[in-house]
Amino acid sequence: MSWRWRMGLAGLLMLASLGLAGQALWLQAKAVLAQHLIAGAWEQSLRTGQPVKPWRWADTWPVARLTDPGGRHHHVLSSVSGQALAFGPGHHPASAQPGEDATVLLAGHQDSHFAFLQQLQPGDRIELQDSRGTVHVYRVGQRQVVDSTQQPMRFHHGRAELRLVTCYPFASLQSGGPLRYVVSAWLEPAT
Amino acid sequence: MLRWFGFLIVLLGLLGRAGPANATATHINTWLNDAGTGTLLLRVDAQQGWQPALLLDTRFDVQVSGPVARVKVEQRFRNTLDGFAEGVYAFPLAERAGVHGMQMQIGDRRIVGRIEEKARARQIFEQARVQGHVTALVEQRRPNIFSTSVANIEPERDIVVSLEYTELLVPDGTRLSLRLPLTMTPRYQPRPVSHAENPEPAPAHDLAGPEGPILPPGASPAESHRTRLSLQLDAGQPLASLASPSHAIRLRADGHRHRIQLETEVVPMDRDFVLNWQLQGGPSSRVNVFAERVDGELHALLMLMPAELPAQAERLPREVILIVDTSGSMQGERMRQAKQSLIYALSRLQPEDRFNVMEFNHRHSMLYRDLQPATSRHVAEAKAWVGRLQADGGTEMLPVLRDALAFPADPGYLRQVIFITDGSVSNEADILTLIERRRHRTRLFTVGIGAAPNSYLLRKSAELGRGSYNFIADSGEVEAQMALLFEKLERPVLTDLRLEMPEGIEADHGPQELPDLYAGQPLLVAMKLNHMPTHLTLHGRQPGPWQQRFTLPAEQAHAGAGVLWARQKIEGLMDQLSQGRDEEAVRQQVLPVALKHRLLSAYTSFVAVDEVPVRPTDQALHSEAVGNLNPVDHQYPKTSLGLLQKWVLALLLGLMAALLLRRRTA
Repeated sequence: MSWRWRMGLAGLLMLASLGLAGQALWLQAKAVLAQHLIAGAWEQSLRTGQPVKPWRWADTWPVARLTDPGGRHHHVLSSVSGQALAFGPGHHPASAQPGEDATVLLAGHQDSHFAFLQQLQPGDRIELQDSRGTVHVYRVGQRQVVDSTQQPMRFHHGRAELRLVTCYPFASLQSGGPLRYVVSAWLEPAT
Repeated sequence: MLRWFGFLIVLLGLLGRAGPANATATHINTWLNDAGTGTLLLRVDAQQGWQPALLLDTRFDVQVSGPVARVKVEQRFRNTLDGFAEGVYAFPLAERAGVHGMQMQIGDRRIVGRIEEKARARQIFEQARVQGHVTALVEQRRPNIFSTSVANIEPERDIVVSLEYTELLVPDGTRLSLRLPLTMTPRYQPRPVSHAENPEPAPAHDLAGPEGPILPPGASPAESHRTRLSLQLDAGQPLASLASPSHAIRLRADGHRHRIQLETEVVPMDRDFVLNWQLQGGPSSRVNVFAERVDGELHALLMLMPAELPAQAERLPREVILIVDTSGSMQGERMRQAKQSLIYALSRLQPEDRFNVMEFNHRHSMLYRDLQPATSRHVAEAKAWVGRLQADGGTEMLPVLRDALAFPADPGYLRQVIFITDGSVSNEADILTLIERRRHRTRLFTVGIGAAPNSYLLRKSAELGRGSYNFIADSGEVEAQMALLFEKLERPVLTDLRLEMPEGIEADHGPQELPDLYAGQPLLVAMKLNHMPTHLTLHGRQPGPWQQRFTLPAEQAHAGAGVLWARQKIEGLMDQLSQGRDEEAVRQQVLPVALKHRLLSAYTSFVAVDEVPVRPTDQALHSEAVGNLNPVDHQYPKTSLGLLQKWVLALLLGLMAALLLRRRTA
């Protein structure tokens, strides 16, 4: 193989590698940076009682704030579309509002905001702040893996559940698989 | 060189498999969440999403003769769309129903359903569905909840799925009752037992309620969810009364035969249909035998009614624990009926009795910390406490039952638990297991409240708790039904029953352990015999030794009696599950019985497939869309950025570049 050929190939590979790394970095940065912008929007939204878009051209806005057992905040957006999930976990619009006697469903990426799901243990405390500022406390109950092509998603009624959903398996080389990791947490009675 | 190409190909392969991490539209989820039981969820093959299709009609044809009801249920589904559609419908049936026939009707074509092992039936259905055949599948989800799946309904056409079942109506003294469940109360899904006791995640199917979603009022079109009913009753003897507490009916009598129709031709399916009748005088016969020879074996179901027992001279004092369900599903009329029942029960207590009252939703509390004598002061206190109860919250039955069964029992008293509920929970199996294991000397009586109680749970709890069950459908019935219950509570019981067969008779009977009998209750025994005996003797205690000899009628064949036998046999086998027997072992015993007698069961389903496919395979658009056909596709949003994949690929490519360059320098 000629030297020139080899250099050319190496250059191309290097370019592709950098491109991919850049893309991954960009996605990760977007996920982190956006949360800061959304945090600002959330504070404002709590003050005004109105939904506030985190940036002018955004098609989504924060509707709740999730606090994981490690005390980290995750601002939850109003949609579970791909665009929204890139910036933060999303609240399934057909599910209940925080604190209601039904299922509140939140979805997030397994490799960014919802990576903490794999560490959750039964009994862990999860807080969810609603748009009026009230904090609801949920305790992790069961965790399970469901096949989203086989299992219909059904919501509970008459029972306050916080259901966190992310892709499964964690740290998988492939994305877009049918498996989901589903964590159910139950509302603690208000004290 | 080849090696490099190999690497490249692997890399390209990895890249090619990377799916876009975008989420799909969520209208399917939205709709599923809004949909209801008894609604057919219809999906069109094209990208039109879910639409409510009408459940236009159901129809019940009932023939009651003596204590046997034969029922034909028709479910007519209409596809109102201009594309092919499929759907699922969850529905309740009487829990003693033995479903032994299924038919699918499309226009003039009738296709008789086959009974198959459950997984096999599902497989046949799925295959037919993909290949474009009109197909229907009927499965059992719970002992009294079934589901019909239909696929490839032609545009703007109807499909009718009809089921046939036989039910043995068990008399209570001279009273008989027929219940046609038409709807279901949304069932509460209790939380996992506790983190410590149950660290294993619950199986995935527990996420979905067995009854499917429930429609909020006004959410279904007015012309949907309606039923028609035609009923013929021949009790074989004159009736003292005949009435429906649930619906306005029209009666036409012709000798012993009665024709019953609804006052209005169609009624909305918002409550169960109930018909009660009472025979004049005693039952015509103390023995009912339903026998049929199947493959040379005589299968018989015996219903034996012991003679009236003499009233006990001495009344034993009782310890009565009253438990009332105050969960959200009991709100309104149900709570009023429950309170009335409690007040009645309290007023029937005698000063020498002891009692306590417990209420539960997702928490439970009790009136007194311990059992208290039923003095007039205590009873008045209890009545005031009951008056203040409010219905709200979840339904956690296990903790309250565990506590109630754990009260230490005093041998000088009869321990009785009266449990008042609508039974709207989905963890029946756990509850029954608890009752089976912890009942000790306690007798459990259940009172079912409301227009659509979970009658399976109520009946089964009472059977395992060696008590009895009653239903209250209407405020006007409270007093009468509670009076019946107390009649049983206060009358002697036949215990330690066993059957003695004449010599030469080989009988395999189930249940192995015969239940206790209250006044007016018959004994049901399913037997496999070499030939029919002319008589048999029932021995028991009440509490002194007791026996009665029954003369059996000469052997006569009843078509369909095999079904009654098989139904009872399977129920006995399924009961072993709550006694902790291994499920696979039970399944192995249920399967041959269900298949031989063509009975729908937890392990067998009915499936029907039309011969000619209706959905043309040459329609490119449609066959493309088949790939998206799975109704539960993309239920949960996509939740992976595929970051790891990108990093690994970037690293690999970088490494390869480095290798190429190092070769040169080396």
